[in-house]
Amino acid sequence: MQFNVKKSDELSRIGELLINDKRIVTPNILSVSTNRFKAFDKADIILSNNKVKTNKPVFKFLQTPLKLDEFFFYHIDEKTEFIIIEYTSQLFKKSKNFVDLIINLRKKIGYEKIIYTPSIAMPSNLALLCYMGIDLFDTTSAIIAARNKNMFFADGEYSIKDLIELPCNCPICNNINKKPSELSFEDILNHNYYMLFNEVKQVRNIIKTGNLRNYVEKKVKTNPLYVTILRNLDMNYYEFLEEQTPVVSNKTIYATCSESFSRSEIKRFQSRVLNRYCKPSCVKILLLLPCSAKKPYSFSKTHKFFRRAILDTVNPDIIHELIITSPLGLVPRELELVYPAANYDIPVIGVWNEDEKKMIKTLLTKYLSKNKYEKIIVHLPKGITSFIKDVIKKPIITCIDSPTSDESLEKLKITLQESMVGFEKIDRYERTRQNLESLACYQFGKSIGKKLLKDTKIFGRYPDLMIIENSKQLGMLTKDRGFISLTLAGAKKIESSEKYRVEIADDFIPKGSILSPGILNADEDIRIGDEVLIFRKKSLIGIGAAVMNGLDMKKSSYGEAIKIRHIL
Amino acid sequence: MNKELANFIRELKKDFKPKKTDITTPVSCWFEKDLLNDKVVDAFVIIFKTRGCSWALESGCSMCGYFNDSLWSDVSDKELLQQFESALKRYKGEKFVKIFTSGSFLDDNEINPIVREKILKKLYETAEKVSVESRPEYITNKSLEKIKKIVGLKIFEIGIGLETADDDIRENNINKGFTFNDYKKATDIMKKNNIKIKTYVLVKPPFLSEKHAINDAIRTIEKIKNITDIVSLNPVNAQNNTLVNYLWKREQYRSPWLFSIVQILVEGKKILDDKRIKCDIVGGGSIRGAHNCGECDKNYLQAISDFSLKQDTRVFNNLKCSCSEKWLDQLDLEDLGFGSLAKMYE
Repeated sequence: MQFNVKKSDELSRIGELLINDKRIVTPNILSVSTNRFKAFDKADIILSNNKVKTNKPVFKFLQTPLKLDEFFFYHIDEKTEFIIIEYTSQLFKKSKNFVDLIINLRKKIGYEKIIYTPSIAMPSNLALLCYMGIDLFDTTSAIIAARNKNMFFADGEYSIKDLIELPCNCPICNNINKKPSELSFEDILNHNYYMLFNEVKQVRNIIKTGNLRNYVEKKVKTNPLYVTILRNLDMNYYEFLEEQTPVVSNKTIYATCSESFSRSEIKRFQSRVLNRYCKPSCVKILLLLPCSAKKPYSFSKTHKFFRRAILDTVNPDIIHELIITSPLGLVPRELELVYPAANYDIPVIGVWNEDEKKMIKTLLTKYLSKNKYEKIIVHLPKGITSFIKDVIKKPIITCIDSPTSDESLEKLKITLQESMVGFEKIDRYERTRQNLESLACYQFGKSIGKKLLKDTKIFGRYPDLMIIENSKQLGMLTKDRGFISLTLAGAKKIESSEKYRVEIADDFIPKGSILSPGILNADEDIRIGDEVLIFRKKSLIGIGAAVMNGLDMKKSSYGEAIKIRHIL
Repeated sequence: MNKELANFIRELKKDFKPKKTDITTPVSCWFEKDLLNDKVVDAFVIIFKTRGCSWALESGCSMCGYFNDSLWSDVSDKELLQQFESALKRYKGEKFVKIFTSGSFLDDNEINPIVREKILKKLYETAEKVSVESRPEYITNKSLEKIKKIVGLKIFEIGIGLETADDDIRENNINKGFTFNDYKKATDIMKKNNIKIKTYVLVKPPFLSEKHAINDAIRTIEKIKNITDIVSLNPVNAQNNTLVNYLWKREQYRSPWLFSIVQILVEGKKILDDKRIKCDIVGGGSIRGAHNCGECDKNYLQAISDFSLKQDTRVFNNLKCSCSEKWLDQLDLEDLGFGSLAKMYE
């Protein structure tokens, strides 16, 4: 038997289990087969202690006596090497212990082992469990629900006596001519099986799209316990989740509930803006702007108005635009293409809740203590201005009614014009270079960022910009990635840095991609999507994009680690 | 000995403080129906407060909470006799008397032999049969010597908590502290001394599934059918400060279904033939004790109690409840669940 992870999305993954030439995709559900219960027809795998006549794989786990020292514990099946959680149903109710056990277990065993949680999977919680990285489940909860005369729904279970009609179009509900209250145990059980297996397919599809988190945030709302589990996970294991979260992605974040604010992409973005990013040094005037529904912001109609007002002034490049937004907080204009600044959506009704206010005030205060400006102009709707005013020294307010009204825009233009009197004219090209330097600081950290952009010129039309030094291209910003992609020359320029380095073995010639077994060492700060400098025998031989994080590059025994972009 | 288990059990009692009570009165005494020479009679029951079971003071059994009624400090001979005097006030000359100490009646550390003899002498003035309990290590030719003289031609019965014939379960699930062989030796001595043997069989020790528990009890009965005179089933209930209670609170233990007890009684009766098998259920019908769905518990408890006296399995014939499907599910599925299905329907 062999297990390979085919696709990961944060902690969740699609895996492939090879058992005697049969391929089983995970996450999956073991269908119980006993004297009393026949396995579900559509199941891929059977769980049984009996001899079962089937051509499907049958798992039989040897149950060792339950351990005493640690009552919530796991057990490694000798034959399959599956990690099986003991007393799962009891543990599951203790959300914090459950999260602690599963996550610490995953940390300990790595990503190549299968975790099986018996008896807890339901259509309502399967997404959450898979999001935590659990791979296998079974059908016992469908039996228990059926015995209690409860039908599985996508969001939970409902008693047949409360239903006025059969709930779905599964073959049972579709082909049976009975009232819900007249359903037999077998009818309910089969319906429950269908619902459970539908859900696992759904979850697999969503993992494939790389956006399980949006779905999980929706599904956990069906039970406070599930929300508690998700919150515990976000609160206590941010670092671990963050390690598995790509820095480059096209998926859209729907920030529709309070849990969305704790997403690792969002927390990481906020932390990098405060800790890695530094504003272009030439800018002197800060302009605070609202966000737009369309992303990247500058492609939107409203931001085109703002840009026009800025460009109409005599010294537009002395102005630094900072977008105030929820849930990201602060997005400097130079970062608007970065994930997730270019990929989020949030319901806007013009009223900010207290958590959002607090988050923005905290971030802005910290930001302003690190990035100094001569003047701060606030061109924001009243709803925002009212609560950020007190963290800004002498704010100049330019918004009269709506930020995009003719009056407001006119006032903005005049105010900008007035406020730049006395400042030296900033060179357009130098400003563009500094913009990319700021972005590079966000992407690589300050020292690499500054080194990379030193003595360079920027060519191209935003957002497609090339970094050129002595007529050699060092890298390029694309709208697609929102990050700078390096050339070999770019990599050469920053090769003395310790960060974003990967050392590969010298017994192969890399082509196309590098697999993790070929990696000797990797910077642990590397995230999926990052640019990585490829070294062999201590000399730079290429540049590529990370497909797994640095830690996994070192630890994994299989899988693609780096997609090579350029190689010597 | 399973040191880990013993330590865990000891640790659970660490903060236990015996309640302050009147040392001159027994824990309790009452009357109950029982059989004497195949006839239903009223039996008189006394539970003494002693310093406690020596084994429980050392570490103890995983399910036993009787130490909660013990004093954990020495009780003088005088006080024990005062308790006896107090109980005798309610005694109306019943021919059958049962004595419990929450420990071993034959343990000299619990009850001074002089006191023991005084109690028995007094009781045998009227009683035909006295029944006590003891761990096997206290059942010796020496300890029985004087008792035999007092008993004379009457009946003396000692109940031994064998719990299971499986040494592994007794050691690793119960922490009983003796082996089947110890039991065998004690019963040989009893047989020689013409003392009746009552064997307690535990129904559902911790860490066993419902199905294993049933099988273990039936196997045990099979193994002791030629040794014991009577089998008394003891379904486990969650008693304070015990390992079972610890598990129960964490939803990792469910006391046996009443269906399971009926099954063991029926199977046990077939095995034992004319020997008696009975079951007194402590906490029956409650969530901490042996129970079914709640609806049918009363009927099943009544039938079990009827059977214990009549020994006629036909008392179970007309019992029925839809929750038996849940019980059958548990028997069928529990062993697949790695502990997860211990309370699958609660």
